[in-house]
Amino acid sequence: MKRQENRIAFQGGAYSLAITAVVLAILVVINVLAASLPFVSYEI
Amino acid sequence: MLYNIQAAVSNFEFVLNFCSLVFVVIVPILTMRVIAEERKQRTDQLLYSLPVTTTQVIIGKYLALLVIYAIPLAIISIYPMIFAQFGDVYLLTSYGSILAFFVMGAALIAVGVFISSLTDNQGLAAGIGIAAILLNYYSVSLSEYVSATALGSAIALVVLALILGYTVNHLTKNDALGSGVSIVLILAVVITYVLHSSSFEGLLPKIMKQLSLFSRFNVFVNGVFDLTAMVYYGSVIVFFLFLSVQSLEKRRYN
Repeated sequence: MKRQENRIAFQGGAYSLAITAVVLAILVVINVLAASLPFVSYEI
Repeated sequence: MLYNIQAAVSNFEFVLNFCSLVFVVIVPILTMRVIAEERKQRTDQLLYSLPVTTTQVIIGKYLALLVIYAIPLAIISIYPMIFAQFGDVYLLTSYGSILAFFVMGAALIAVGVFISSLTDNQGLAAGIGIAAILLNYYSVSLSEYVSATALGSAIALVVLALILGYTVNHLTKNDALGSGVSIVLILAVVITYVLHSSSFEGLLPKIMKQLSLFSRFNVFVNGVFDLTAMVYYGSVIVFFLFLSVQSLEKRRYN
């Protein structure tokens, strides 16, 4: 029973960590792309 | 407004810059019980049994908080128009700053929601929230005082690796995996430090400056609509709401 609980916790935790790493990587790439955009200035 | 009267300037964006410190108090107060109280009163079990996903629950709670936050900002949005009656106001800068102020607050609220999802004690959630936002507010100033040497940055990364290992251990209930992640990351830091220690020079202060939400707001106050800052705020919102969803999901499998 305990082993079954640990297995579920491991699967859930590993999935959670993996998907968090993917989301973080996507967000970092988006931020890097945004930072590489050219600077545009307008007189107001 | 008192600042504008005292300094005899009609630039509304200065007011926003001046009062951004209020986030340290209002965001934790606004967010401290949003999930913590549900956990304490066991009403989160009701949320799990509803025919909605955890993501929808978090987004619903977050949007409700945003509406509460947007009401005073909507009232504040009239002020530049009032100022314009008595002096020259750069309305584009003012409204750009108000928009940035809103998005920055939205990012801080997302952080607050995540902190609230970690505990069932709303006082503790508020305390951690105040500490986290205060640390972020002064992170640029504090970066002047932390070690900029390669060794200092390497030690900070080692501590970060240990925290990450503990988090992995906590999530997976697997000691070997948690320790393994810590050891691999620490080895990576040590090897990089030995081979290329110059890459660690000034890394810690740089990270602290880059992660600051408040310093990016100053750019808007100076009349620049910084798209990278908006993207950063959006990323913070998405990341912390995602972590909040994962935090709720964790209770399902643990």
